Amino acid sequence: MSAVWMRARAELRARWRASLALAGVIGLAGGLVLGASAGARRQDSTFPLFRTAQNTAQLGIANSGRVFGFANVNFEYARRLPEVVDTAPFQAFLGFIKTSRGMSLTPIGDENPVVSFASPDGRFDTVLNRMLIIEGHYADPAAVDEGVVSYLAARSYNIHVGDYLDYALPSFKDFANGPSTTTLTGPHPRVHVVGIEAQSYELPPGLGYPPIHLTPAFYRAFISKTPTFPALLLKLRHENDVPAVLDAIQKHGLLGGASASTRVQAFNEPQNAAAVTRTIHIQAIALWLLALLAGVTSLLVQVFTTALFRLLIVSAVGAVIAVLVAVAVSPLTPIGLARLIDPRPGFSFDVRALLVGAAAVIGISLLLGALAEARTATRPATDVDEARDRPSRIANWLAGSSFPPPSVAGVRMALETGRGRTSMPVRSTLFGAIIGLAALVTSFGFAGSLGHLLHTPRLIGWNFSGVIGDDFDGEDAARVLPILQGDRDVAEFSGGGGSTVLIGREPLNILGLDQVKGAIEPVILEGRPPRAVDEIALGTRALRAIHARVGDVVDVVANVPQKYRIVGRTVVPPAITGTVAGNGGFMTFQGLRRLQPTLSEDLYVFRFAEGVSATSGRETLKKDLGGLSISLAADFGDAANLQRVINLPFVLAGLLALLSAATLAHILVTAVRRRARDLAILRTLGFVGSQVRAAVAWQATTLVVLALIVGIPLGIGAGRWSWTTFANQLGYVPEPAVRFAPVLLTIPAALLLGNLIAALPARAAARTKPALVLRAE
Amino acid sequence: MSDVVRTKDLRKTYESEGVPVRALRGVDMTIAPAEFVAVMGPSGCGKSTLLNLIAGLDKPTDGEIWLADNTLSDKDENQLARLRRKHIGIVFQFFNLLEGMSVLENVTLPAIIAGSSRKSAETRARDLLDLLGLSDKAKNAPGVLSGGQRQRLAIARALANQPTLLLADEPTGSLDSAGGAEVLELFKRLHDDGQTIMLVTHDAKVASAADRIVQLADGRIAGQPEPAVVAQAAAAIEPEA
Repeated sequence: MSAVWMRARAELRARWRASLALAGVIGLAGGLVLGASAGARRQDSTFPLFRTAQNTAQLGIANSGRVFGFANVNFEYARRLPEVVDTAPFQAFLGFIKTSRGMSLTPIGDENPVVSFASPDGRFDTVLNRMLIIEGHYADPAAVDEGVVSYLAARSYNIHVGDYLDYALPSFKDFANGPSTTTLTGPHPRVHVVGIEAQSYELPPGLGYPPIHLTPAFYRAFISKTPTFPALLLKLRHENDVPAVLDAIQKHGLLGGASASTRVQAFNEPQNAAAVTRTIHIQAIALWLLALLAGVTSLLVQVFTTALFRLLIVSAVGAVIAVLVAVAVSPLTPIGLARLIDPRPGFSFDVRALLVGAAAVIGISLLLGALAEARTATRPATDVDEARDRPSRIANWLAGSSFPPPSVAGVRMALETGRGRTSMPVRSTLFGAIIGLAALVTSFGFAGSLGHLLHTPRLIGWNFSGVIGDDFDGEDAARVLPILQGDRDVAEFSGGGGSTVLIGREPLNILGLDQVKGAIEPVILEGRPPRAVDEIALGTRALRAIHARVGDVVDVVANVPQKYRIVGRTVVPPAITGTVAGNGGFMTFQGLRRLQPTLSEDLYVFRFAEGVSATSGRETLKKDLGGLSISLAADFGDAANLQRVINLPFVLAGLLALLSAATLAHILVTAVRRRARDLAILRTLGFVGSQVRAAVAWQATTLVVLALIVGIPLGIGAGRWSWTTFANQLGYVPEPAVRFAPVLLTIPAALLLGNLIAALPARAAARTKPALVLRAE
Repeated sequence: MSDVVRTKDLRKTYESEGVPVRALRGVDMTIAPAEFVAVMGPSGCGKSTLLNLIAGLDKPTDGEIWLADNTLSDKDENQLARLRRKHIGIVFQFFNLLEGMSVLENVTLPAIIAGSSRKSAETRARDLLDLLGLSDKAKNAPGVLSGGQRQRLAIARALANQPTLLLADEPTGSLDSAGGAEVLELFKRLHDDGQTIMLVTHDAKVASAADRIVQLADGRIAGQPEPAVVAQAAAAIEPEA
């Protein structure tokens, strides 16, 4: 053992710079692998931790009443249900708000909507659904003029801690006449924003409108002076008790008796949590991917070049560096939405995971080193020599084409393995460089496609300009139809409504649409749109959930069970179905009425004529429709969560570029050391310093060019494939977009970076004394 | 005609593990055109250091070197490299061939580096390979050649630019006796054709092939024994077959 140790020490003394560089690369790569995998674990665990810390209520019910098309619930009945373990009452105030920065916000309207909540006892949002304060602090329960704003409202409406909100509350008389900003004769309190918060039910797809949390003092001061809607939070014994509780309420807990056509206005938190979990998990997958790529591109490549006993010490140092890097990068995770709601932000020092990771860095390095040595030892010497002495055809062609000697020498150094101590792992080096560049281009492709998705409502299912309705009755419907038919701005529209149905055990929100003017319906990804009353098109996720495909016949259950043939795969905008993209589906409105004969038409989708701007078109419609809700194709539902990680692919790309650069630097340093004899021979034959530097530059350029030639098409293909797979998984329209500018920019950037990296080893090579090198040989 | 090489009070001290080693302690010597000089001495006497200094691969600590009327002491690395292209061909004990290139390319390369066109460099290389009996190996890799063939290839490469001075550092040191004899015979032929040669060796028998022998000991010239005398002495200590 002491002999091995002595030899290792001697090797390290002789090659301490290269050993340090190798330890650095192993450490950086290992650190990224450790950091990314630890980050992925942290990413997945953040939301459950957040929900636990929040003491999340699984169900929220509101009595907005029949005016808005909903049933009123007997809260006492709901409280006494055996599944309910805790409750918290609160009220929704209909406050019209002017922010201190001049923005007008409306209560649950279609323009800058917000909802203001306050509770009598302060248990709502501090005991049940405890707010996570992102900035500032909780409001003083005794202060009438303090409030905490949702992060969504803060971000969307430019509200900051320290701002104030001027409320204009309607009086009861105003409300009876239909409140609007011009007729508000109720109280006008000013509320100071003391905090920004996040809660589970706000996370997209979420409630759909961001809340402002007011105090019990506010409640007491204004509850008798302005109309409000009562609401109740219910904490249930089990997550999956929600359907049973809703069913019981629908059957036995409605004020005024059960009604088949009136729904309870309820927020199903576990359903929203499932969508949020999916989004966060996608980001965790991205981190796992980074860990994998970091491992493949560098860590695994480097160890092939190093003798085993030296590797033991080098990998141990690398493991220490890896642990330090992993701890240093730990504040960068979790990412995206999970970062916002992380209850334990900052450095993470998971001792067990880090020790296992450090052991893995050493173990994998040694294993690969041992495999490399075993492979060399078991291969007959002649095979090794023949394989290694095979000259490069490219270099031969360059030599035959009178290319300058430095370029030919550089290309040879890049492509020929050499033998003995001068041998270089050409294939694994090229493999690493190609994977690094391909991963970089893949990241660009993914980022481009993500950006395209977030700027193209059609891909989320918005195959129309907007939607009118969902909160009006039959009289409104009768009024809307002639207005839409007579509006020249509206080129096409369809009418119908929505309902929740059961297919198998899966509750799905289905849209029923009949063509009225023109042909307008959701996007079809596969098959065709439903035309007959017994046909249905379902979202990708919905099809996956019920294990069905286009062409199958399924039993659809609402009031009456019916058989439907699935004729298409579709994307219905999540904002319309009230679920996540890829879920739900659509059929003809007549088809939906087979299931619920009493269903009334309360929803229209429309497309503006060419040349009509969405804003002006909506203004005209608003005037004509008199206050009915009009939503333009801008609500991205759960896809909005992806906005928070739009930079993630670029961060990944940057890290991979860094890793590839470190790999290239190490390869060049190693190559210059191992090819020192060849360079010394060239010096004796008359190479001047600039020619030696040029040879090393050509070596780097050759590696980069080959990596570009293979890596770019590979990366473009991988980017398209990964995006298509990703979009299909989530149920969006899988339309990859390649941004050529960053891809094209990669070419000069990689060449420049490669040559910059080559500059130092090239300088060292040019300074080498040939006499010394050849004497040592 | 002036000397090909002239050294004046040449000194070289280098550090080895922190200890200064005085490899050359004032060497004055000359090599005339078409002369075949052997520098002989035991291991560590400074003969390889002397060869490296004359080749411009190393710089003296003190003293002067003139190579084909060019003083080397005021030249930087690049100027020395350019001088080497034109005036120096070097043959090493361990051949130092470029293994990734073919036999022909190894011989072609020095001329291309010196600025010759590929065509003329190849023509000259083929002539040299023909002269040295390697023309049938032109496309082979150096790795497949025997030791003697490899050294002949190294000599061909050294002659590619028709150098003023051919330097050889223990050229027979890693060859068997037949290979060594073959290489020595080649040096004699080249010398007969007018090539100036400086050969460094510790082997008296090899040195005796030269016109003149410079005996080096402890970094100084210890004498210039007659080649015939050296040959006799070498033959006397050679074990009988």
